[in-house]
Amino acid sequence: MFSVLWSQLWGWFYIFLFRPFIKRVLHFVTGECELIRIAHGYETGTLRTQRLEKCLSLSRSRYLRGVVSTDTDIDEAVDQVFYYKHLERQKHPLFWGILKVSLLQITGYQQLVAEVEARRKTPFSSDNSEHESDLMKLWNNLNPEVALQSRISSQWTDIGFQGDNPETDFRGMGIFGLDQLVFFTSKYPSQARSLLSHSQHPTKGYFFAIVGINITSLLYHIFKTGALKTHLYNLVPRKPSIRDLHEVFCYLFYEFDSFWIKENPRDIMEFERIKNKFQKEIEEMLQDSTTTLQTPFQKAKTS
Amino acid sequence: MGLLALLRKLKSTQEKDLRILLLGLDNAGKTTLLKFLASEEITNVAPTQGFNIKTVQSAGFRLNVWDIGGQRKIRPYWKNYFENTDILLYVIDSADRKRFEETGMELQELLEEDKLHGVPLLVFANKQDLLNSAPASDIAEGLNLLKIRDRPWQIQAASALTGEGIKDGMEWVIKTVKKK
Repeated sequence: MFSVLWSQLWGWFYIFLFRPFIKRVLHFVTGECELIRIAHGYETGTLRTQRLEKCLSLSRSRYLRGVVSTDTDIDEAVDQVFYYKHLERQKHPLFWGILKVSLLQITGYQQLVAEVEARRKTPFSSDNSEHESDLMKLWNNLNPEVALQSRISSQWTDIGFQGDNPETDFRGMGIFGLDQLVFFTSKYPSQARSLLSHSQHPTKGYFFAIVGINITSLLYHIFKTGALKTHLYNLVPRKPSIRDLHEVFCYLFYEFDSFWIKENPRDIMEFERIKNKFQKEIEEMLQDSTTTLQTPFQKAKTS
Repeated sequence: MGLLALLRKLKSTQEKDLRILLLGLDNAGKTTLLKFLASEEITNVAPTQGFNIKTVQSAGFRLNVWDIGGQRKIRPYWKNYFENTDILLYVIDSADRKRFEETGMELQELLEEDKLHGVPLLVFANKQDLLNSAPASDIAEGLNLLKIRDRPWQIQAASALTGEGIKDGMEWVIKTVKKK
């Protein structure tokens, strides 16, 4: 009770008195506002974008706070920050560019949250021809030489679905789970097939598709908490896209497979324990602001 | 030891641990039920591989709920979790009529297990929020529940998504355990 009150009091004190005071002193000494000090004081990447994000969202100006969740044109938003701060674009061209990239990343992340939610909340439907053709694509990517006998078939369990009809397995991850599996198996078919063969090991195996959906669930979790900002802000100086998230899925699935083998599980009943341990390691990695989640084969394909 | 810690210790010794086993076919809604009991977010459940366990406090009891994956290839592992079970919760997707026979056979096998002998059974006729779900009475008949003589049993119409019927079911659990 007291500690809650104390931390609230301290938070208030920090935002309204201490922080403005320090900012004013620094402004006086350096002759620059905090945004410019951050922009010029850090290298391109997560740390800079996150500092700018924090600085703007703690601002006393409602307008500046609103900039981090704007959905208007970014050039216009940057111009307005300049106007508000009495800055001129000609005098601070570098800062203008930095602020623009950071705002693209910050607002892009939030827009991506909405985009992912829309896909996740779309349930797999056998009436939807696009869903059906994606499901077939998944089969063909993994088994180019084996034909599926019929749409309802026990063959689905060969690639790690739970039963004869994969439909219900997508559940809470919706069509987003299928999107990610199709992306991985289409873009990196040899890696995907090598994972599939590991998954079919008689004792140390796992269920490929279901593990994939659980990996999507893990990704969704670290994306929603904001932990993935580290990776996405480091990765590209632009608005992050849903394909960037699919690449993270490829990384996580590939790394999980190695992790699983290294853990030498007794059987599949160890899955939750090992998955939680894996998730913890990933979350720890993302605490380091220099982290990007990419496998060597992904780096080779992008460069 | 401070007074507060002493009080806490006194309180915890009064709480009785219960082991609850949550079984049923894949996609029956076991994990959603577990998450509902633990007051967690239920909209993003993925299929369970292996098992989940959560501890929930209720009416002076500490319920240790074991949620075991339901897919056919995992069912052989169910028996590893039978020992010392206080209550068996069996979850059924009331809208998946095509699999009533399969779920009935699995339940029958469970009732014949030595290690589950006399363990009270609560059947959750889940997914009652769906329009095409079968009523609990039809399911009880289909599963031959009325013939069970060797243990207390109950069927409860429920929806783990809306929470309907869960509280009633858990009250039956507590009442039954207290009688034992």
